Order: sequence, then structure tokens, then C-alpha cells
Amino acid sequence: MELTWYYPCRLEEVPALLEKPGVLLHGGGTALLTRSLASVRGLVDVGRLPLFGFQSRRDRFELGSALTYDQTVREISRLRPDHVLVQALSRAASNPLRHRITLGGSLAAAPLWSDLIGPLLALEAELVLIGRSEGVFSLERWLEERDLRKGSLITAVRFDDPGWSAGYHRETLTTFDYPAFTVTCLLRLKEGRISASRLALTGGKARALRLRGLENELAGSAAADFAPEKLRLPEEVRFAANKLGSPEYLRAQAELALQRVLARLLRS
Amino acid sequence: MAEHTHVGKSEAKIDALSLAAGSEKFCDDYQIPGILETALLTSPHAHAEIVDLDTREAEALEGVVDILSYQNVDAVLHTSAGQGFPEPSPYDDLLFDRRVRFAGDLVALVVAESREAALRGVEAIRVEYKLLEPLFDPEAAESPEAPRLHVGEEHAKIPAVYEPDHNLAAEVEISFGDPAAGFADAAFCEEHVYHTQYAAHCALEPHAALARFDARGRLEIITTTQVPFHARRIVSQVCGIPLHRIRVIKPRIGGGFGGKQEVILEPLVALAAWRSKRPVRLVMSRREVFVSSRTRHPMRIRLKTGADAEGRITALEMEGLMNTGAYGSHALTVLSNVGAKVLPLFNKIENLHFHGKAVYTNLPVGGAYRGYGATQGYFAFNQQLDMISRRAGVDMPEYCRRWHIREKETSEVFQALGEGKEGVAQVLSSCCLDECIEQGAQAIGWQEKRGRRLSPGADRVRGVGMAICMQGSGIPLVDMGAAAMKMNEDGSFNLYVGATDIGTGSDTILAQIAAEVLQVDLEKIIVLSSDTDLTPFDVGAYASSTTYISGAAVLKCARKIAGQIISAAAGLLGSDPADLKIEKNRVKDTRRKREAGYAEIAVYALYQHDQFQIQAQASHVAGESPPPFIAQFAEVELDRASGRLRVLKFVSAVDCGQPINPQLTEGQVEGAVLNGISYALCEEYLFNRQGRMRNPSFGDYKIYSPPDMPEMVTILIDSHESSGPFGAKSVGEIAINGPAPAIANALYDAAGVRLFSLPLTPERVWRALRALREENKAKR
Amino acid sequence: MQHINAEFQINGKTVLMSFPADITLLDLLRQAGFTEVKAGCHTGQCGACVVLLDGRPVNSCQVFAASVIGKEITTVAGLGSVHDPHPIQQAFVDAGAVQCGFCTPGMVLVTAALLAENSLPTEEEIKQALDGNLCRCTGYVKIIAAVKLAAERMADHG
Repeated sequence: MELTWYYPCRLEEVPALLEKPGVLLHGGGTALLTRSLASVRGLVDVGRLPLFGFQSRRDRFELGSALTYDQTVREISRLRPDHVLVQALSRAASNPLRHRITLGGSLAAAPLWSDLIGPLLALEAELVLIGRSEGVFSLERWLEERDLRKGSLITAVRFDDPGWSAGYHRETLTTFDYPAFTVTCLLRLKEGRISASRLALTGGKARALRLRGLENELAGSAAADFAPEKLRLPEEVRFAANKLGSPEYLRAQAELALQRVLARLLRS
Repeated sequence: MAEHTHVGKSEAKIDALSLAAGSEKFCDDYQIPGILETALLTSPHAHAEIVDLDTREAEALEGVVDILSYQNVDAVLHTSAGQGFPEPSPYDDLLFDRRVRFAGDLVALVVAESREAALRGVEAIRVEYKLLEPLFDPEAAESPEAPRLHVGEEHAKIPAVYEPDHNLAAEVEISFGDPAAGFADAAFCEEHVYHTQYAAHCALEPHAALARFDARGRLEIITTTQVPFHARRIVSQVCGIPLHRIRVIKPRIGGGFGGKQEVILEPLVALAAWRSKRPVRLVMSRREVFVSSRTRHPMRIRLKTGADAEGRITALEMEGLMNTGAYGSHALTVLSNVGAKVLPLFNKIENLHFHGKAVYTNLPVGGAYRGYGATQGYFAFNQQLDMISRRAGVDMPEYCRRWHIREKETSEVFQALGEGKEGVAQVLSSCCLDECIEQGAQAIGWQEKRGRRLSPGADRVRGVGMAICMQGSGIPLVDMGAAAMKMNEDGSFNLYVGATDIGTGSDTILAQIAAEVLQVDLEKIIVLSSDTDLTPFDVGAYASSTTYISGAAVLKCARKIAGQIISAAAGLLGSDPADLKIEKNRVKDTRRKREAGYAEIAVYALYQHDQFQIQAQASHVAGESPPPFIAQFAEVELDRASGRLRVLKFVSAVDCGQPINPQLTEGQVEGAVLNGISYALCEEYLFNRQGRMRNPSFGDYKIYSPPDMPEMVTILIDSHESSGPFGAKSVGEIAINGPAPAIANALYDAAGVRLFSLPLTPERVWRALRALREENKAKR
Repeated sequence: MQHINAEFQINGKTVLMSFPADITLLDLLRQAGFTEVKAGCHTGQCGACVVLLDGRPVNSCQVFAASVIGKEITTVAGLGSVHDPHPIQQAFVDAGAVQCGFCTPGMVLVTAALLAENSLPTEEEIKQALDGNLCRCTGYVKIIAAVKLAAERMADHG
């Protein structure tokens, strides 16, 4: 089976390449190497495309999709050392893998254990696509509509971040491990009250979830009055068993993690 | 005592720089033109008969050269266990059988021009299986309804209990005194059932072997082995190739820990090469290493102890059921060791009963794994000591001090329990366990922390626990190692040892022993090890035998060399040999104040007068196996809400006699400890209902990487074993035994919760804490 | 399978290779004789195969050779040799951080990348940098000590 590599230098070349049968995108390659290449006829390497940019204008961030986790952490931490993406991506996978996993590649694969999706979901990120689907799409739509992935290239990830306080938790057995679930909390406080929050949970049966019900509950409440032990995960949030434990255990831990991340954020 | 120049010094490992530079060759680094590559076909089923095996399509594929299976390979029953002959493990294994006995059992070997072609060949083999009822529960193995795994000519090679009709691979029983009376006399009894789990060695280098022919058609096998001489013998036996036509060479090895004390790949590459008359390489994938090589035997131990009010143990009953998996490799010996390495530690127990059985199941195969049964036994034993000492109101360090075996003492267990046969009586001449306990307790902060349940903050509580252990230094009257040396013109020496350096640094410490005797710089000792053509015999790297046994052989050999040097110097100097003394690089006549340098003496002996090669050889078998001792202490922090148990600090205080190289000794302890900690907390084999391992990768079978490390402290206690080379005992295994029980004991100290099954996963701890809370609520 | 002919910069030298389109950098390097790059798992989970790619550590088993044409690749042999060891290699020797040595090339290279960027890392930073490098022999104790020793020595020499 012949495998052809393409190294386009201009974005305009990409859509036509992706229309060829059996042609996939190659970012860092780590997701591709977990699958069989038997049906793959071509790989489009993004390395020469202008996808490595990082822009932050006022509170709008735009990250090139070919940025690796490591590059993303470096760029963002210069401006926002405690940013949720810095917290999440600096601990994801391992050091050598963080130098290879790209934002675009990670979103295309969107594995259950992703450290990227929870934070981007909470940030209400948008993805810029070219190819069969052109334009700006919400991350939620990208996760729901599998067809968006066919024949399209993510060129950039965008989000607004006016200065959320951020907390992140990844649940693993050892440090270098796929998270069984992740919890992302973004908060904004105004005069001692929670003026807004964004809560995201990944790894459950629903894959990636915004806990909007809880966000509504929290809205307006006084930080000083927050009783973490009273916070409950909505009934519908369910887990499948994995190597870290049973569904019951995982649910209890996810609830505990959420309580603790929020408590930590509200204390500081 | 005279100051040593090499012994007790942390000299650089002789291959450390070359390893750090990447120039050393591991098995898979040999680049041999025209070498054939291979791939394994393994069984997807836990228990099945092969009804049909059709290799025609595979054979027709481009690049496929040969396919080995039961159809074309002689069925020679043997054991893959790398042990001395006759092996104490049953002969129950064939290279390829018509019956497969676990998911991962070998079905065929495809030999091809490239790895890709070999893998395509594997895909193209058509196998028709008739599924048989599998047996997964060791508790059910002996029942008459259980499926039988071994129904042919399988047999034991030595007189030992072997009843494959009942799936019984081994049985050991010893009894002293009157346990029933002892229990009756007891003020209190503790009886608990402990479970230890499957584990993988996780040596970074996967198992590999290659076979090639030398110019004269002799077969040379380069292999990742801990046992080159056993490998040669077993290859000859299984493949029908005369032993004198086989050479086995051990290259650099990327870790073994017992996993490479097995002869699995060597007969396969030997046969494949013999058939094709071309070189052949076989490298196991990481998945295959997890599933199809060897593991630590899981065990269930029921331990009952009776004690008087002061805690004196009046009776002890240990009853163990060991799951040996599909084949009985190391079954009898690991089982024996559970008792043999544990029970002598408390030698004042007069009424004792140890009864162990090893049974077959259709699961991955147990083999040698650092600790070798002691690890399983100590998990039970040390928790029991924690319980007894608490009930007797005695602090555990003090309790251990009162009852452990001491210098000049013996235990009846030494004689009664050997490795598969009767053991060997011995009286200890070194035991510094008291010092280990005292210094270890101090280093962990025992007095300040024990029972205090110190809490650094909300939801977190800390505790400390300890464990004491002994191991052995080789198998007495069984393990033999030999060494040979010769002298060169410049006063350097070649040292040839069969002893097998698998990364431990044995080449280095053996060179240090020789250098100490001969008083030369370490670089003047040129070591060549583990080549069955060039080096004398050694059983190999297992049973913690290398320092104590192989080291003694080197010591003897070096002393003979020293004698020859003196004799040649006497000729050169015209001196009386009685007046001559070895000093650094030279011989001195103490009476006439004359001296000759080694180079001068060597040249004289080789070239000038009464010429002879200064050379010697020596062998050593020991009549005893002086145990090293260790006291290990864990400080843990428990998150009460999540059940997360974290080891904050781990202290090991070890008595291994005189450490030959302190830095390497510490390295042995540190590696074993961290392995023991992840074994205690997170390593396990997960199986699906069909008996297939669900997590055969580093992604899903977790071992620790640097951020997971606790603070680790290693204390080498001042000790001296008179029967050991320069006072040394061995240290390779012992430190892996204490972490699991010490951590379990620390958990109890922190939270009043005791777990009897490994690993102590977060969920298990969480459930135990919840159960305790419910229990306490109910009580109120 | 289509073979690609391309040049790589390996340890400072230009090397022309001919290779199948789907080969990993690990397999390509080892086949070309760079056997100091070790294969421990082929799944990016052990770190034994780490090489530096433009100075940054990557698992070579997780990199398609075809995607790194023209890039600078450094193996442990490019850092130093037995004749002329790099201070990091020497520090590993002196600290007793080398037992079987299989993990050592990966450890040394990650250390080199770390110290190039952060000349006096804290213990936390060292452990995090090495989070993807497994070792079963040493318990990591002397490896951490070796990195600290290398940092001290390299800082001393400016």
C-alpha cells in the first residue's frame, strides 16, 4: 500500500489534498501512531503551514493549530502564568509527548482522556476550519458533529479570556497517565460574589460536559458562603469503569475534585 | 581491620560511561547482515485444542521463510525455568503444543526477511481452535470438576509432589512442635487471609534473542539472559543440538529482576537458525513481554498466629495457595521460599506449620521475580507482626528486636525448607537487624510520628509503618560460580567470570574484589563475563548469589594468582617467597628491601625464565546462605476523602555484610524499594472474562516515573559476614519485600484501616474508609 | 511501499537516508546504525527512545521520519563519547545513576534539553522534565542526583 506524504506551504493547497481518498492530516503524529495505517494513502504534514502563530489582543486569544502543548504553555504562561491551559497542558502526557502533541491533532483525535478539551470547553473556544467545512465553529459543535472533521483542517483555536480565575484537576493513578476524568473551573468574582463560572467535566459517559446547571446555581452566591461539601454533581453525570475504578468511585472522585477545585479558587 | 583500597569504595561502574555514551551493545543492537526477523503468533484463547493449523497462505507470502509450530517441531517436554540441573520445576512445557493453556501461549513462530513480512505471515496463519473450559480460579483448581491443564506425559524431574491430575504443580509442608496446643495456649489469635497479585518485571529492555553461525557452523546465541549456562543446556535438550555446538553469550542486559531467568526465546531462535542455516532474531513486543513471558506468582496466604499476653508467638500456621499460571516454572521453589525466607526470621516459634500448594490456571505464567516468594510471604507476616505487637502493647520496633533471629542462632526452618528439596542447616554469623531497626526508626521519625495521626491540613492524615525481612545469599550447596584469571605484560589481568551482570554492576564488584587482593587500580582488571565458550560456569544472576558466591570464587582465584606472582617474583628477585609481600602494583621483599613491579614480574614469567602463564581458576559453592537483613519504614499520607495513599518518605536500613561498592549497593536497594512501592499501590494485571490481559502496556500497567517518587533514604549498616568475600553478603532482592507491608501498616497507623489485598488502590482504600465510617456510625 | 530519499542532520552530520514512508524515526535511526537510541515499548510510554529534535526531547517511536526531514536530530552519541564525555554523561557516571543503562540515553538527553533552558533547576523541575522517562533499576534517586550534579558542574564552568 503506497503512502504519500504532502508538505503544503500554503493553506490554499490543503482542501484539495484532503479530498483525495484515504488522506489524513499529520500534526505531531502521536494519534496516528496508535492506529493502523493500512487504509491510509496519504498524509498531509502541517509543518510548513502558517499554523504556529500565537496572538493575544486584549482578551482574545488565537492559537495556531500546529502549536504543540509545550509551545502553547510557553506562549500563554508569558502573559498568564496561571491560565487554565497552562495548568492543564503542562501536566498532560509526558515531557517528550508535550513537545509533539499539537492542538489541532489533539482536537481531531479528541480522545476520552484529553487534557485539552475540558479547558477549551470551559473557555467556550472556537475552531477556525478550512476545507470541506469552512468558517468558525464552536468546540461543542466540533465534538458533536463528526462530519465536520472530514476533509477539514483546523487552522486556529480562539477563545476570549477576560481574566478568569482558573483551577484544573486531572485524575490519574500515577503522574504520567491518561486522566480518568478532568475537571475545569473558571470563575469570576465581583465584590465577593461569583459573577460567572464555567465548569467542565471530561471523561464521563458524556465525554465532555459543561455543568451549566451548577454554573447557574453558583451564580451570584457569596464566595464566603460557599460550602464545598454541599456541591453535588448532577444525577445525569455517569461514568464507565476504567482502570482507576468503578463508576461509583469515579463519580465520587469527580464530585470531590469539583468541590475542592472550587474551594481552592474561592479561598485565593 | 586494614583499610581496603577497593572494597567498600564507590568506584565507578566499569561500563557506566559507555552506557551513558550509548556505545554498549544490547541484544537487539547487534547488526547482522542477512539476519532473519520473526514474529510470534500467540493464542487468543485461555484454554483450547488446536484442531487445525494452516500455514500455507502464510508460507506463500513474499519474504516468509519458515514457520515453526507443533507441526514441525519435536515435542520435548522441559521447563523454561533457568535453574540448575535437574530442575526443581516440572517438565510441563513444549515449545509448541497442540493445546494452548493461556491467552498469550505460543502457537507459532514466523521467520521472514523483515519484521513486516513476519507480521504479515502471522496474520495469514489460519488456526481452528476447539475451545476448552478454562480454569481461572486457583481456589477451584484442585476440585474434581475443574478442567485439567496437563494431561499428557508431564512429570517432575526431582522427587517432589507433582499431581497434574489435580492441577497441582507443587506442594510443600513442614511442621514443628504442636501448633494446636500452641494455639490453645495463646492469649489471643490473629487469623487473616492475604492476597498478593500478578506483577510484571517491567525491565526497560524487552526480551530478545538472536542466533547465528560462526565460521565453522557452531551456533552462537546472543540473548537477554540471566542464565547463560542454563540456556545453553536447555537449548541443547529441547532442540536436540549437541551442547558442544552451542555458544551462549550475554551482552549488556537492560534489566532482568528475574524475568530473564527463563529460557523461552533461545530454543526458538536456535531452531529457526538451525533449520534455515541463517542468523535469526526474535524481539518480544512490550505486550508480549507482559503477557507471554513470566510474572510474579499471585498468592493467597492464610496466616494464623497465636500469642501470649506479651506477644510471644505460641503457634504459627501459614497456609498458602499460589497461582502458577499455565506452566509450573519456578512453582516449587517460589512456593518453598514463601516459608523458607520468612519463617526463620522469627526463630523462637516452637509450634509451626507451613503448608503451601501451587496450582495451575489458564492464566499468564509465574516465574522468578525479585523476592521470589519472600515478597508475598512478608506482606502477610509483617502485617501480622504489626497486629500482634499492638495487641501486646509493645511498640513494633521493640517487638521485632525481642523476637528476631540473632547471631549464633539457627532456625529449624533452614534445614527443613530448601528450594524444592531439603534445605541446609546454618547458624548465623552476622545479623545486625537491631541496628537496622534502630537507625531506620530514627530516620523515619518513628517516635514523633507513630500513633499521632499528624495532619498537615484538612482531610489528610499521616501514619508510619514498618517491616523487617531477611533473604538469602545464594542457594547453599546448589549454586556454584567460578572464575579464571590471567596476567598480562603490563601488570594487568583478565578476569573471566560466568557471573551474569544484568545491569547490577556485578562485573564491577567482582573486579573490585580481584583488585583488592592484587592491589591494582580497577582499570587493570579487564572483565569478560557470561560467555559459555570463554568463561567458566556460573549458575547466573538469581537467588542473590553473585556477590556471595561468585565473589568468593573471584577471591579464591585472585589469591591463587597472587601466589603465582609471588613465586615468579621469588625467581626474579632471588628471594625467599616467605619474605615476599603484595603491595600496590608490585611485590616487595620485606627482609632484603628489594622489590619488583608487576610488569617486570609478568614479562619475566612470560618471556625470560622458567616461562609460564600466570593464570588460575577457582570455583565456589557455599555450605550456607547467610541472610541479609533489612528494616524498612514508610511514612504515608492519606487523603481521607479520596482514599489516595501517598508515600511521603521511605527508609531502608540494610545489613548486607560488607558492601563491596556502597553506591551500587544503594542502587540495588533504591530500585527494589520503588518497585516494591508501586507493587504495593498500583501495579496489577487486569483480565477480561476470557482470561485475556486488558492492560498489557505501560499506558495501562502503571509503574512510577520521577514525579511519583517519595523521599527515599538508604542506610547501609556496618556489618561483617565472616564467610563472605571481604565480609559481604548479597543484597539484590531483599529491599523489594518490605514496602507493601510497611505501607499497609502505615495505613493502619494513619486511619485504623487494614487492607489484606494488594494493590492498595485508591478505590480499595476509599471503600475501606467508608466501611469503617459506617461501622463507627453503627456503633454509636 | 514508496521509499523517500531525504537528508537528516544527525549529531551534526548530514546523513542521506532512503526509507519507507511510514517508518518511525526510532526504527530509521536504529536501522541506520544509531543503536544508542533504545526501543523499550514502541508506544511512547517509556522514554527509552528519546532523541532531541531541534534541541527538544521527543519519543522517536512516536515520530514519523518523513515528518522531520531536514531537522536536527541529536542522539546521546552526539552529546559525548567514551573518549570525550559530555559533563552530563560524566555526572551520571559519578552519581551512580547508571545501572543497566537502557534508560540512560533518554535520561541524559532530556537532562541536556532541561539544562540548556534552565541551568539550575529545582528538584521539582527535574522530576517534571523526566516525567516520561521510566527506569526500573535505580528508583530514580541517583538519576535526580546526577542531574543536580551536572547542573552544578556546568554552571561552574560557565
